[in-house]
Amino acid sequence: MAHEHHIPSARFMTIILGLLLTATALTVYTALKIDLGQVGNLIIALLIAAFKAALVVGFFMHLHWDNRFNACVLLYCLIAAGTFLLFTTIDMTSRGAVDPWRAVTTPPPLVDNARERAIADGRLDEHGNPVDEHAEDHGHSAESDGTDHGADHGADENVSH
Amino acid sequence: MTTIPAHDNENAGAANWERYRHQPHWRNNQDEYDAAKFGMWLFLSTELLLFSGMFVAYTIFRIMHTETWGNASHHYLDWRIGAINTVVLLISSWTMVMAIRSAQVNHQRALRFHLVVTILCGLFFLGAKVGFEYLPKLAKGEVPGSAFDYIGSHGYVPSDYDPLFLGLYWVATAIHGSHVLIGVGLLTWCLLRAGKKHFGPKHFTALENVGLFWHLVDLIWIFLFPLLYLVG
Repeated sequence: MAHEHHIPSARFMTIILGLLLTATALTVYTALKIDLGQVGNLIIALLIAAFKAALVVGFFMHLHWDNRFNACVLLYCLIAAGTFLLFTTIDMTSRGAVDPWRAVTTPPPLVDNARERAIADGRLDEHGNPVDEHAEDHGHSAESDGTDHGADHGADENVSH
Repeated sequence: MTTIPAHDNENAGAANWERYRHQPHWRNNQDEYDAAKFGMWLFLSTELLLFSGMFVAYTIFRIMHTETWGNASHHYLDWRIGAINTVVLLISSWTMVMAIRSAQVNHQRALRFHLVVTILCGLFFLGAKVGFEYLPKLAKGEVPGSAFDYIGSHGYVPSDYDPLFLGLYWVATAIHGSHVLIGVGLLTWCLLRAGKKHFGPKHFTALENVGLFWHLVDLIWIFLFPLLYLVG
């Protein structure tokens, strides 16, 4: 393989093109005329597409005659893409089985609602500013959370944690 | 392998394939060719991973909104345009193969002819895409996201998730289309170089790698066509 470029015959490549066009016609025919349900038709279409892809990669892209390193690159890529698709599909199709279980066993989400609770308790006013019980001595509460440096309306998000 | 004196190479400006000499950091032309092709395959694998993200998105949205996917695919997309474009791309892949073969057997006229046909097929694909799909869709408001402005016709009422389907359709086909456009540009560059007899039996690295890119574009379309236009 090292020092000879494979020269495919024109006849062979034309046969491959014929196979590809036939497979395309078959894809269209099965999708429009044969009803196997949405999943069944999808699987048929993907199988034909995989067959076409194998023809293009193997012969049009010369991988069949090529340095095996190049095939390894493609193989790595297919394993990665296959992993993405496989785990996505497993996740998306098993939600129905998992969600009821989650509803019973999972603790409630840890929502950071400290600010809302503080407003409800009356520790903060409705703008999120601290309700200062000793309005006259400002310098005293410096250790609280740093929101008492004047009328600090812009620091709402600081208060919540 | 080839022992062409350096001055000979300089005289020709490395123009003719017979006089091509590898870059000085390679042992020989074959090593240079192999490395370039290996690099091209690495690049193609990143391209496949780019598109795999879209196929993952397709998987998620299709499972979440199976009904919308079936209806929207049949209402918004005409499989006949997709099928014609598929055939055109497959034929262009074949002419690309024949162009490389022509270079390998030193048929310069056939090489240029096959490149021209490949470029025309690519332009046809883009023309059909823009003329029969993108422009009418823009006019009717069949666009993704909040720009969606389609009220339905022939008794078809758009579902809430139609903009999502169209979003995937537009992003996937437009990124694919931009690859076709780039491919046409690269093929034109190859045609210009072929006119100067840069490609021949001993040297056709650039032609081979552009060919690989062009086949990748075809490969992506082989999956996009049934997933978007047919099975929905």
